[in-house]
Amino acid sequence: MIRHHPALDLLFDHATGSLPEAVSLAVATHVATCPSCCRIVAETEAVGGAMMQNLPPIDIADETLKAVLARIDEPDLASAAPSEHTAEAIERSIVPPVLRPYLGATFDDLPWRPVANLFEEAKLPSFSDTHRVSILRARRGGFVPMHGHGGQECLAVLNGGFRCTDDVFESGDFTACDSSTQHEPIVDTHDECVCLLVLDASLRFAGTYERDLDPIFQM
Amino acid sequence: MSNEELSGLIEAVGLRRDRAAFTTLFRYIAPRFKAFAMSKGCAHAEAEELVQEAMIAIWRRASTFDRSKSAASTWMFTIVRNKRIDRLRRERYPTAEFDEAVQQPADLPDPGQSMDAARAGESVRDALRTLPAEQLLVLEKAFFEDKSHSAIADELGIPLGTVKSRIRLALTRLRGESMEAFA
Repeated sequence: MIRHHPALDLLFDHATGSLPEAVSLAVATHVATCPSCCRIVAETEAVGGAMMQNLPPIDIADETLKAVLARIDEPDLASAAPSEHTAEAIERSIVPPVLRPYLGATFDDLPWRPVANLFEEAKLPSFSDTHRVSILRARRGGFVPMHGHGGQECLAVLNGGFRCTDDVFESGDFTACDSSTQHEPIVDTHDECVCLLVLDASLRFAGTYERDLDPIFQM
Repeated sequence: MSNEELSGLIEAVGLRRDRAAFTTLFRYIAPRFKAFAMSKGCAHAEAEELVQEAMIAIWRRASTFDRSKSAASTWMFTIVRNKRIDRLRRERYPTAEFDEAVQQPADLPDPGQSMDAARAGESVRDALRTLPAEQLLVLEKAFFEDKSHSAIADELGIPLGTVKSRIRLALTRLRGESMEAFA
């Protein structure tokens, strides 16, 4: 049962296309598993469709129609068969189709990196400039030590779950926080947790973990 | 042109590769795609290139259009929105379809079932004409200029909460009962 959803603002901004790709990816990963948020996005897109249809039309050159008619029989290079790399992830059925093209490897072949023996992180390559986009996984007992945020964090749970004080986040759940939040998520309600994490600024670890983890979670 | 007629044209393209239907569709929607591109600041030439890309995508994906799931105008909006993001921002748009393969066991039925998509599209168009100007302006910034809530607040010099409430009021009015989430 999904209990934690993106704020309506975030769903709306996703539907208008105004979010950065990395943040949209986190929202879309949730939407793929959540019928009620999928409906909100679809209804917002319907408003966009109606507004576009109401726009005063602007004349198009005749050559543009001719050019399009000449091009529609060209082979469609962009929609080549999906890569075999994702077969295993599909088998595991925890990675929704919208996320699969971003992995670029089988789930197990992602560049997993253990972080202080607490959890593993695999950074996805496409977003190096503006966002840090990672898959995190941890077994029962794993946790991310107490930390604050330099900016916005979005997280979508792909499998298993974790707990943050009194809130439990499970497969399909979405959560976002900003620089006002400090927390210490721990995997103690499920045997494992796999999630998509999107950051637009570095995490700031407190206490004894500061020296070890701060350099790792720099952007 | 109504969503019923547009749906028929897209289906003719999808099922029969019907060039006459595609040309009719082009003459209606391409000038609106161009207006959509120019509302974000594209010059004529770039807008026409974006129109070409979007129309070719419509030809290629027409067989995936399902009138029971979305209004034709909604489906075409998502195509031109994604092409514009691709072209102007060099980014992809992660489009999620509700995925039953990863659906949670206790979840609700298919989100598409609850509304008649084509009729909903028409009622939204009618309701847009009755929207207060300040609400319409915020929607235009969002959909045409792809500005986020916070970018709209910055540009108009109004509090974020005001942007949120205008958007919610507008959506509630546009979608009537079906947009309960925004009430």
